[in-house]
Amino acid sequence: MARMAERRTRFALFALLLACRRGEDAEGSSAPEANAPEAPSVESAPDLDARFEAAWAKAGVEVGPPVDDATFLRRASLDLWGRIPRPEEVQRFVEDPDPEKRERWVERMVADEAFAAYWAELYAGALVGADRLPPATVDAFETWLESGISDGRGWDELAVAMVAAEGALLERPEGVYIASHLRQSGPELLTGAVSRTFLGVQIECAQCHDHPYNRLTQEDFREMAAYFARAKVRRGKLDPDVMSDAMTDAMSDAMSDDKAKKKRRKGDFELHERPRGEFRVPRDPEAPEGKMRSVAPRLFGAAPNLQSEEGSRRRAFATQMVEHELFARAAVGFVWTQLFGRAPVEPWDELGDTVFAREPRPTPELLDYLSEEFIAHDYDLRWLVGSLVRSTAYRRGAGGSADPQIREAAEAAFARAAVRPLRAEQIFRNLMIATVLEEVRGRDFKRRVRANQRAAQKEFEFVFSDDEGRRQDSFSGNVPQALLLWNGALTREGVQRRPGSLVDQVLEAPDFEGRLDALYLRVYGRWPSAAERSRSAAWFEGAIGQTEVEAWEDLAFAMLNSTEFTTNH
Amino acid sequence: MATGLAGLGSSLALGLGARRASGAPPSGRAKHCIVLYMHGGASHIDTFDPKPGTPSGGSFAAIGTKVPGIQICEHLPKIAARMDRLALIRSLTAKEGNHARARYLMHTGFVRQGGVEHPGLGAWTGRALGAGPLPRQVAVAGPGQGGGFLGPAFDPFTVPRPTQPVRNLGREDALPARESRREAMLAALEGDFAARHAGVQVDGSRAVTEAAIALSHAREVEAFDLSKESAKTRKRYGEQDFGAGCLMARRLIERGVPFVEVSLRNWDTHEDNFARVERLCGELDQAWSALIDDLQANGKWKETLVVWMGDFGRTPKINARGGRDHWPHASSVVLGGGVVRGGQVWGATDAQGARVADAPVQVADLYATLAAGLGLVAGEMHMTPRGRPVTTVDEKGRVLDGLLRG
Repeated sequence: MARMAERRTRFALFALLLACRRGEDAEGSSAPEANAPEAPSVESAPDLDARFEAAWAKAGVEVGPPVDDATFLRRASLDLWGRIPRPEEVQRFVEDPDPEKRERWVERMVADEAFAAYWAELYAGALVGADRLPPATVDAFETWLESGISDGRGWDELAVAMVAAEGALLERPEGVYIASHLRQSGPELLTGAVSRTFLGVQIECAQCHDHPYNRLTQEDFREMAAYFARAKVRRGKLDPDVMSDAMTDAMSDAMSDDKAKKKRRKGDFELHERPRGEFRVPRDPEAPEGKMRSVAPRLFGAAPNLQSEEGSRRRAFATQMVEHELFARAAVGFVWTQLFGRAPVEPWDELGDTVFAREPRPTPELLDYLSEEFIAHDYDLRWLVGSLVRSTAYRRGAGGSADPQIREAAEAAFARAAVRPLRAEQIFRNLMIATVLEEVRGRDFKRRVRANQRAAQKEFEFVFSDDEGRRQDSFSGNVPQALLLWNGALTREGVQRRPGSLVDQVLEAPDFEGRLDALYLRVYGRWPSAAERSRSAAWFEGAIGQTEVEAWEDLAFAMLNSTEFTTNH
Repeated sequence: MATGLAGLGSSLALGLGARRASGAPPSGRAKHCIVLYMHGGASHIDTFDPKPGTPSGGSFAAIGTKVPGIQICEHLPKIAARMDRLALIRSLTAKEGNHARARYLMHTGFVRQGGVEHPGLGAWTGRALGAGPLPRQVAVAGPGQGGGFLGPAFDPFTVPRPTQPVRNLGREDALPARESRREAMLAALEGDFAARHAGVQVDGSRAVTEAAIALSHAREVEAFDLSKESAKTRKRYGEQDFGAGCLMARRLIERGVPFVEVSLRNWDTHEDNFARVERLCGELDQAWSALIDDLQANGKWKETLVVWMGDFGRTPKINARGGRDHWPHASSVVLGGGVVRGGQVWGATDAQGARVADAPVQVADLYATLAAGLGLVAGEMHMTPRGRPVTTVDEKGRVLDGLLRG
């Protein structure tokens, strides 16, 4: 139960961040050294670096210089834990004399609960469909993902569990994936989602006609949809006395007692597999009103082994799906995109042409290789993410030629770091860390922040997220986001000096140099350069007392609005 | 009579792009564009291409319009009364039956392919016609389309819920001296970062912040404040998101914004098509007709191009859940505004509304026509960041001659 409580992620995360409890860190231990569990055996893919280097040489691209320690830690912390590092973490990392410290820190960060929490949040965002389900149910799904990742369950196992799930969603939250695509939209949309998410094939293009660019046909689409013809979402009737602990827990976590009671009466959603039911289409495509026929389930032409399975077509599909050659490649492509802003096959969810094109495009060797290694490592997401983050490609900086075409070619080959936008949740957490609002002690302010926390969090998710799930690489901030940072209360009030606040802490340092270091370290996770020091000194010339306080507030404010703060780079 | 212009259309084999590529945009073109986007894909049969009395016709009746011989769905009576100002294309045909891909196609005029992210119509329009402190393109009640390879600076300003106040447009408590110091400090920080990380993403991010700051200072932001309109006016447009969005579009156009897209969502009627479409048509009819009337009253109609379109059409077949599924093979588009020759129909579908029977229009043709109406240089060549040359409008596109005023 205590473990369960620790894992109430999305709600608890912000609540704890905002509840400002020093030391009770919701997103994991504050430093990898502290309490990190035994790192799983995560030796890197042995040849990955050599293969990157070979690919760069072959493509003839300019290779970016390696990044320094502080830059590496900020980048890795955002990608592994979903937040910027705190000053003490930067300090400890930079001072760590171990020549292998990057490998070691990444290993520990990947093994930490904070990794599972962040990647569960990331996956939940990508997996949950548009059909509305109660927030507590969706939250339970994220918690389920988090446990799966932290327990080291393979992506194949998680995928099978999600696709084949049956039962009440609060008890079997893995069913949320199917239910959130199926509830109002029927098997067609679900088929498209499953194919895209798990196999990287946008088969829905073949829903109304044979695929325009590859040899997938309308019949392929229908045969895949036939696996989902028996899935059904309904509202279950719940007896409050037999509710499982998990359900009570998840419900009361997300709502007040009154609301929880009301919800209990209404009942949970249930994902259910009907004993029969077929996907039916007109026998004659030219006579849509005529006789209908049932379509037999096939995955890209391959029949399922239905005898050996206990009835469920979805389970049969799941078994076939994880054995398909595209399954691992799609998973690797997704992770790759999260870490580099793009994948070897772009976009990661359009792999169809690599296999089904009339003239197949070969899969890039790097993707093939890492997919095979991913399978060899039992589809362990921690291994996959850890391997890429420890690779030579992940350590590349952004420097080099100013020629846009040379730069673009290098980025496309992962030889140079791309500037990547952050997700809403990341920016929100970073603001809480940078402004020290997570630690601030002023009681009135704390109460006010807590009262507004849901509103503030919602506003960020609303303004920063796109309901259409736009691809990450096509997204890079927009005016409403910039307005939220420039005019919103969190940044405006976050920079104001009050006991324990960012500027208050900066002013604790005895001299200008120390103050500037403190500000840069907290907001940018690095120390200022010589040029930045002299320029900043000019801003502060003659500023004393209240004037100096205001200048620090203004500089902190400008930094929070800068591209360096709002991107991963 | 309805398809009388078809012959004209197909005889026009001249490449507009090629002809206009070197010339300046012609005068007398629209200065603004409003796209009314039917998110999810509106059933063409249940809106502008009725097939009463056929198996695919469904339960709606067709009604006559201001233009003799043109009939549309009974649930669009106010639009019917203004049909003389609108040109109706009934023969748009495409191959994209997936929402995301269809939206990309309808918003950019190009089929999505690897390696290039095409800018949306709003980005092109904003780039050609933008000026002033307000955003160059605004997307209301929907995501709109980004700036693609032109960069994030050409992304739309999004107003997801126009019925709610747009937040963070400015701060009343801001002190001018400190604001300008903050802006100067930010400019220095951004300059440093861009020097270390050159690239279109970084330039775009800077431009976006600068636009936000300029907007914070601008008096014109009152365009977003619908409380400045009378309760009567708001009611005339309808008080849901689409109505409020159309009203906001009018206010934005009046203050110089070149491009506004207003989305009407929930057209993905896989089930319960008729009740849902009736409701959606009610919202559409009310808001769109109010917009037409107001643009005529304030004189903006003659310099605005209004486009009604969506993801795709919907199946002639009514499925077991009383719904219609995706159907890109045939759909309808409506154009209006001073540059459009109203009161005409272009093309036709067959008796079932399944296939285009006359004067097919590809999306590229539609885009060539929109570009002509807006004075965009269709054949202008651009270099993507990956060094690929791309024209503003697909070179295959041909202007639908006769839809626009000469």
